[in-house]
Amino acid sequence: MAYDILATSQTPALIIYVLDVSGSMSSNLQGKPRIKVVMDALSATLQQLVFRCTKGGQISPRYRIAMYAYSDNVYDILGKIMTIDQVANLGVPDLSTMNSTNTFLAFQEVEKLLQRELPNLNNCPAPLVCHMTDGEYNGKDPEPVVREIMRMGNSDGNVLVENIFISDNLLGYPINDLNHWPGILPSTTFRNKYANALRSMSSPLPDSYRIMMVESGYNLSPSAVMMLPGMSPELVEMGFVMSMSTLASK
Amino acid sequence: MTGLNVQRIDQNYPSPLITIKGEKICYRYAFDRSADSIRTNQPGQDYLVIVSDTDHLAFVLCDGVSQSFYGDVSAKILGEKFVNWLWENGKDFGQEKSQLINKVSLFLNHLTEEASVKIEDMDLPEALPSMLRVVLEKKRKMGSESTFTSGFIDFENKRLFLCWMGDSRLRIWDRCSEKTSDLLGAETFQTRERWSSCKGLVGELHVGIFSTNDIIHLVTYSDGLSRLDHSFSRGSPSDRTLSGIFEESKLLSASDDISFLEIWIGKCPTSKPVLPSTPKKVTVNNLFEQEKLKISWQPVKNVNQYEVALLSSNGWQIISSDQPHLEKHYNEINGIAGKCMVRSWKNEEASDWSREIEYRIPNPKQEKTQNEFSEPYYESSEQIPVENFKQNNKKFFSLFNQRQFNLLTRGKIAMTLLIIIAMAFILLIHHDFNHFEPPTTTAFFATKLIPSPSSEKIHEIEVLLTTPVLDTATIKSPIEITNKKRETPSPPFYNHFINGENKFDFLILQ
Repeated sequence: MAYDILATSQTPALIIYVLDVSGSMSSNLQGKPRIKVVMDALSATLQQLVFRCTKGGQISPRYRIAMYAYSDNVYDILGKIMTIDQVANLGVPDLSTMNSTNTFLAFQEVEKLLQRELPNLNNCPAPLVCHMTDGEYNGKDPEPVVREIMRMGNSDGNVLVENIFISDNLLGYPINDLNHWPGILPSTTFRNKYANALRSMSSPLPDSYRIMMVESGYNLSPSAVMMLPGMSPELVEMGFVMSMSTLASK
Repeated sequence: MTGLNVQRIDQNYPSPLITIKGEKICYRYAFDRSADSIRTNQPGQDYLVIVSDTDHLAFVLCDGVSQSFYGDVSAKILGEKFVNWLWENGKDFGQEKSQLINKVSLFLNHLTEEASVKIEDMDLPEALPSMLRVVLEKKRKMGSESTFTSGFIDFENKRLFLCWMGDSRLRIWDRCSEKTSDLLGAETFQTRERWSSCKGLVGELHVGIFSTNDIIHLVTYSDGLSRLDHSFSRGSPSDRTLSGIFEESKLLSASDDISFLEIWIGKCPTSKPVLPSTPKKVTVNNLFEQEKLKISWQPVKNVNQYEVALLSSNGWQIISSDQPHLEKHYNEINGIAGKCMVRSWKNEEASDWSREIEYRIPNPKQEKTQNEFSEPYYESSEQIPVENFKQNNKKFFSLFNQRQFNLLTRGKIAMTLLIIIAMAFILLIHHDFNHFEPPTTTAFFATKLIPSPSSEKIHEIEVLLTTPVLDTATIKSPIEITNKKRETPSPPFYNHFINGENKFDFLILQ
């Protein structure tokens, strides 16, 4: 479980983005609609992935991307898993909000996708699921299916689940220096009960990911979990940076 | 200086291993692009240039940073300019390391002016996706970067100067053993250190000054050849073995550009390589309970180790083994099926690969009793090992019987299906006969475009079939989905990308 396999065009990393587009995502976060904050962060992430994969004027397909948006239903934004060069050709998806938050359905789709994909991912980096939400689910509890997903894996390690919880005041205090913030630890206290549930649905941050985050300027603790409090656009972006911290060649 | 010899690689083409033998200095070099660069017909990002005469040699080996702006460009600029500078100034280098650092730093920092202009003037291809164009322009502002190893050998004055930044390897030997760790320091080869067309030196410039009485052998290669890190401990591999390693590097899943240079100062090696024998009687077994693939072969005398290559659509995996067998967990094998080969190593020489044998990893859901792959795969032209012959003979008969049984079962199913299809066909004909119209009338209906009674009936059946049989709350027809999307006044999920392509029509039914 070293999470040390390089993302290459022959052994690409699979990243699954699961984006909450419920009605509440239209409310503001620091003066900007939350959905817009997510789109901006997603745009920055895709650009960063392209940045990492570009060799000369070509994009090497080192990453494979799936994107689900969910509310009452689940939408496959890309229609299939696409390589990063294909996603770069399409551009950034334009999201708008819907109604409720059926998180269970979204993760059920992720589980199905992983069941199909994992047999072909031997010797590839462990897949990562990056879930972004701003509130508690409606319908079934997603935790059992998320736990099932976290038990799946390949030779590189178990599937990683990361949660970005968009909330104005999740911690009760501001994070002034993002570069020296240790991240969310098992002992961190939240002002929201659902955040505790999301933390238990978040994987421990692998050391290889932590080192890549350090190279991006973030100094996370070795005991940090893969959960980010989306209290500001910078933190949301940091969450997306974490999602693509798979080791890649220089 | 007489007899100037310049060797440089072309980043667009492979350069097979070439040996240049001088009276006092010999060297061999090679270059090839990564599998990705070959596939997309892009230039390699390594660059290697060597200038030599009878008593002197200057070299620069560059590895362009692919995450920078066109790393191949900075690799070439740096390689060409730096080797010229080394050639012109190498004889004037003093014995002080600090002086050498100052001189080289000054030159490399000045080089940014010329390089920046070239980078600024580069045109991007017109047909680029907008996101890629944005990224490339960002990279242009950050500059083009390259790591490098370089050196100047002054045989007249018995001196060797080395400079390097980055993770390309630079290894040195005296008459007895390798001295890289002792004299250069393993920690001085850092990926983050490099030369940038924008910033000049990024990180620390490392230098070494030695006597050619002490250091007589030098090898440098880019990180794409990291497989060589464990080689050269018992001498230099032959051209044949090295060329094989270069070819294989393109087939590995983490294939990168490769550049290689080996220099002998003084005497050139003359010994002929002794190749070990190729392993024989290679067999592949699935160890179901342990979820492992076991590959075994007949031991070869006097070899140091073996290598097993697993060839699949995801590229090659090469795994070392000290024993004449290898067990690998299914999870660690690249791909679910492929071929495997084995070879032996004696000192720095490799045998030929054994013949390819197929392997397949069983589906975990498949019942073991039905799995035919519990039978071992043998090298096609090899005899089954004598000691196991009887046992295997039984197994082969049992396998044969099982296959016969499977064929019979499958045959029965196929026959049943054929009978059902035939019956359906007879019923259909019977149905048509019941509504048979005289040919003249049918032709009349057809020409007048009046629906015939039979076609009306068929239409009724179609209508009946489209009536939902199951609960409509659980199953949605494609028509319903389309309608639902059309009915939504403000689409919940916009059917377009910012770049303008409509790709968002993928609702997953729940």
